[in-house]
Amino acid sequence: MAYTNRPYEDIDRLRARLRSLLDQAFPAQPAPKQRRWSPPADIRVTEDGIVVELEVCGMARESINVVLEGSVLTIDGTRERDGESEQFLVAERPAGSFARSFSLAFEPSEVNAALDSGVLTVVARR
Amino acid sequence: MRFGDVLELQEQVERAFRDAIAAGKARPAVPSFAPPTDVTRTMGEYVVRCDLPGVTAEDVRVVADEGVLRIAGRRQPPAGRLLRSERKAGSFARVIPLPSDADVSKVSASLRQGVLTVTVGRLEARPKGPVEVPVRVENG
Repeated sequence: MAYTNRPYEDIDRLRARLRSLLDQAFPAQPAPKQRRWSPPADIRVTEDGIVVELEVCGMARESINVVLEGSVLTIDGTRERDGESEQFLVAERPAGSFARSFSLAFEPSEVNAALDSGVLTVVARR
Repeated sequence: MRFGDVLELQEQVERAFRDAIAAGKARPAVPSFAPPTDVTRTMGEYVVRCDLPGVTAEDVRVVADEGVLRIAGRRQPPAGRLLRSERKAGSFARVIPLPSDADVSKVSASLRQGVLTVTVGRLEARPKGPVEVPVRVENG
């Protein structure tokens, strides 16, 4: 930055420069690519079976598959990136496809899944 | 430019340092986790999205302060014993620094499907470079 013999003007320009530097500390980028991720789960044993809670926030129930094959419970789906067309300053939230399988050690007679507040609760009864 | 502007600049710089220090250390009672967060920009606003699965609106607090957005709250720990425990629980907090054109008087927040979305307005774009101003002639 070139300085003039008008100090007040210099300070003003310095101030503008400082602000733009602060803004550059957070460069904007297009949405990052989607990649495979693995949502965290809690598993609880109940009297008549098992309960799996999976964190899948921001997803609709229709975009999550819950499949039982014998004693293996598989939950998969794809989470779309929110704000795909926006400029990203910080991108920490995972987006893309996921799949998790759980061996239940028994073949359930009944499996129910419900989604609430971003948590999928799967109840498998003996 | 007046002398008052210099004082204002000094105050701005001091405030920036205070905020930076506050953002670094002033976390309420050491949160047990930091939920993943996206920050995006559109033409008219900034959007902050925070993954808070299983957190109710009563258990999350959003505060827009000068230059920062504070998101804090608590996810109730699971009752009983877990066979496997991967989900984070307890208190959480994030301090999101906001760019200089963020307008903290235009903030709204909503919680949907376990995602907290906070929108912050942007101030009108300032013109870059000198602007020629026409001088109107008034008689009288």
